[in-house]
Amino acid sequence: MSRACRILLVEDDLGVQELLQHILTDEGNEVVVAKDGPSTQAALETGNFNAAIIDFRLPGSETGLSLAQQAADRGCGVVLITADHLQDEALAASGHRYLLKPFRVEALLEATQRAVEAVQARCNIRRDRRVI
Amino acid sequence: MERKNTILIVDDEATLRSVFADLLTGDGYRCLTAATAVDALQMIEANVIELDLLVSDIRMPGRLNGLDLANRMRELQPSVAIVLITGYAREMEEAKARGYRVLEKPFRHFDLEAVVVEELRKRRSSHATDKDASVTSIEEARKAR
Repeated sequence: MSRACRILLVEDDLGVQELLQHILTDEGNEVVVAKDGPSTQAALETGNFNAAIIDFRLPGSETGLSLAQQAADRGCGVVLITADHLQDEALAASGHRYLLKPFRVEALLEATQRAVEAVQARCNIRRDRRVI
Repeated sequence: MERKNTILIVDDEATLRSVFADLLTGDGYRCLTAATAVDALQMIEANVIELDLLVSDIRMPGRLNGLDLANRMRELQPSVAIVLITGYAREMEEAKARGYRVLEKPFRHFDLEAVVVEELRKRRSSHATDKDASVTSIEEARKAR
């Protein structure tokens, strides 16, 4: 990734959480982890994140998709991840970036960077409109 | 973004793990590490990150050793190249008998680098052959229609 980001990583599998956190931190990012709906919402309340990487399938009533929308509403670039390849169409329809497991490290970093850049571009357009 | 080969390094000795990882990272590879075969197996079974190569010591404490790990890797992700490391003749023979590439301790850093390059090259060419075979079979299927 070309620019360090503050990333919220939402993953209920602690092994996967640790692995992805290690990879993202290694690239110079600051990573906060959450494992379900309530911990994600709490993190979104207090943190100011550039990006949220969210597992599609999470325990509890909140789905990865609804958390993705909440994160996007708070200005985060969103990347959904899943091992369930049957969700391919649902994910494509969501409008969020997504990755099917297993993915290459570069794919994760690139998707995250692009998600952040897309949010940044939208912010710039809004700012330019205000100026005009 | 430049695509780097991803290597999983497994060794219970923290110093060796870190030396191998530093060396291979310096050579442009992306390295993930695990301190036990059990931790490594969990990572492999989680199937989150696409790996290119497993480099594992054979003798490790715990219920799984490096050879067990390599066997499981072969079952779960047969396309991943494997290099095993040992200083014990019996383990080396056993691993070689199962068709694994084995690096004998003690070795120099460029021995490790050379083996990694070679096994990744073999993996790439076997992938290319697999792709060629699938293209051929699609064409054959079309002809058969």
